[in-house]
Amino acid sequence: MPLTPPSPSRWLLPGLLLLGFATPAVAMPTGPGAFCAEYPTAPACQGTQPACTYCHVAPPQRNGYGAALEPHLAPGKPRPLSEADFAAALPAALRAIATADTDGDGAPNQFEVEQGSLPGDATSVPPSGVCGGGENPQFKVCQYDVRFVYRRMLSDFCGRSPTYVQVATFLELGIEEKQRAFIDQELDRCLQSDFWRGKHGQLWKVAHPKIRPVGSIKSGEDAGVIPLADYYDDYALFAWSQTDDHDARDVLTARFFVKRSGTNPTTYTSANSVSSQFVEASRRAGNMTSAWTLTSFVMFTALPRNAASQMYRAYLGLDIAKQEGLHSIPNEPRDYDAKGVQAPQCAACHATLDPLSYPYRNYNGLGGLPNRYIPNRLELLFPNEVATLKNTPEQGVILGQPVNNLTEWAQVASNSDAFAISTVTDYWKLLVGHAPLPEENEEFVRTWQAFRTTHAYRVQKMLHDLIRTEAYGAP
Amino acid sequence: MRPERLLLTCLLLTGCSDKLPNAVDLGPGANPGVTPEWDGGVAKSQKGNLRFKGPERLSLDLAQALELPSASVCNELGQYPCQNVHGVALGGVDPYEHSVYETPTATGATTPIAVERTVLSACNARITLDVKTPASAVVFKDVTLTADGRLADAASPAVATAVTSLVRRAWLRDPTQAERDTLVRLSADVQATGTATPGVAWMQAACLAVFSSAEAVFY
Repeated sequence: MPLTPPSPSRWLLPGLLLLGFATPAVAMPTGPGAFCAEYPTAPACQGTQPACTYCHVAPPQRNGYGAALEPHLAPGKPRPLSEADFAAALPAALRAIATADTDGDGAPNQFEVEQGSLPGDATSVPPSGVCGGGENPQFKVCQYDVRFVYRRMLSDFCGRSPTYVQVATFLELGIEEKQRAFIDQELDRCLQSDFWRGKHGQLWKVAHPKIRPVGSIKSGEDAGVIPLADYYDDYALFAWSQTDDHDARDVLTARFFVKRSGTNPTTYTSANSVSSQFVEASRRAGNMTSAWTLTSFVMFTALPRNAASQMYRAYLGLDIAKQEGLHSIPNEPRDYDAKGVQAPQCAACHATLDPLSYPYRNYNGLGGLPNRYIPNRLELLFPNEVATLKNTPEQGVILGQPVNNLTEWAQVASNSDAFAISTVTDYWKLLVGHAPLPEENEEFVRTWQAFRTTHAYRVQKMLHDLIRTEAYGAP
Repeated sequence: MRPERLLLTCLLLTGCSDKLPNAVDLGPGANPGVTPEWDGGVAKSQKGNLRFKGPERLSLDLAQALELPSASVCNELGQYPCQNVHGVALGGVDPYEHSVYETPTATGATTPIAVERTVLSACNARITLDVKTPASAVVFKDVTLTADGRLADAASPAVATAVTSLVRRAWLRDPTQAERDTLVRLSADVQATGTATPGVAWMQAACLAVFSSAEAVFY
């Protein structure tokens, strides 16, 4: 009883690809840019860049597309290719296999690239654009179906299907324009429901993979056996940032906290202080510096790579463990904590991850004064660690952009395409049922771009756009 | 979902007009609908992107459709809500205790069992109320049982109206004539099993068939 087809759309998840093809762990950060210069209109290049899986099964193993490409990359030159040689050779290599069908799915590579399917995956095929003939008295199967949308929208946002009488009343509105207006009105009503925004509601469901709660160490309401930190504060800020007329970027940048109260409706109100949070206002960066994040992801670590990578994954959709979002920084990693990350097989990721993590150097998790910003934390709390640890700077780099501290990190992150794409992808998956498919790419791009611009990062406005897409509304 | 049920539901899915009559239960002769061919005989979706309701929506829809308090839909041992006990099996999450942060992309082997458990419980709750307090019956209104527990008259308007009511509550549309006839004929099949209370057993079977169909548990 499968719910969704296997998604061939990994290319939509923002990430950089190791188009390095020669040896293990040799990243080619120029590859995605060169690819997108060759195919600027490809869906995989709209606000993002192709992921590793475009050419690899798992680096360094190539898929059919990567394997077909490799012999055309500067043939005769010794391997591994330098980054410069690789970047220079890639356009010609891409052209050389443009008309081939390397995955054998019947669609030439270039056509797949331009249509948004994967040229190295036979299960990923360009949208057919074919709509079956005949009639269907129950559904408009090839176009936006307001009756279907009305039913689905109420289920998605209010948690209940309409009744038979409600459906009949809806249909009696007659004109589609009126019906669409009614759906918008009902959406606004449902967005106030506890099913959507209340404790354990749908917004909390979106937040679970970001917050990653652990009941046994929760403090406060519903405390566990070893109460360490209260993640309900994180859910409250997340829900705040996604509701009413609030800016979704607050989840990363807020210097305030949020309190939840009441039921039906559940309300979220901002507060300058709460008893469960300890980072001073000037050092706060939304959920990135919450007591729960510091407890759960920094813990006892000197250099909190785990905290940085989780924020990168949770809020930008970039999973370094899957080699997404790699922006190798020259002369990194420096390996201040002597963990051996300069080894070639580690450096490919740590050249991105370590500079991403430095801004967390003074944010303390467990031990000492927990869940606080402590100037000179490494010097004070880790005196017996390797001497070079104290050289760890607070300055770091995110998405290739230098930042002085974690609050700047949060600003760069929240203003990035990746943040908008990740936010809209969360709701696409929740409401459409899968990550955007190739045939949905145009609507998806339009939705996240409007979210950034027209809607100024207001999720509720974006949701009105989303339910008007054919991806959502064509059965 | 058993294939035969899916097929039945696929057939049922195709049968109704967009133009709905007034929202009252129909008698047996009204609105015969469209009798589908074996493959539905209608234009098919290119997407096939139905979504499973999951624990919360399933329970809320059952409560609304059968006019039950949410807390009465289904409880294990009389006190633990099925939507929690079987939450993951029903496609839900369990983030706080078991680190299940995301819904699965496919339903599991036990999902149909959990669905049927939940639906049958809700159906039983409704049927019990309707049979014990017929004056305030909601679905099986005026359906008369004999002293030995049989349907007094399976061909009665009350039975047809009950079937129509079930379908409208679950599928938000009217049944086709074929659907209604199939559900009424079910009473004879149930009676043939020799069960002690064939009338109530038919109500349970009809309610379960409708509310555990693909059309009712997917959206």
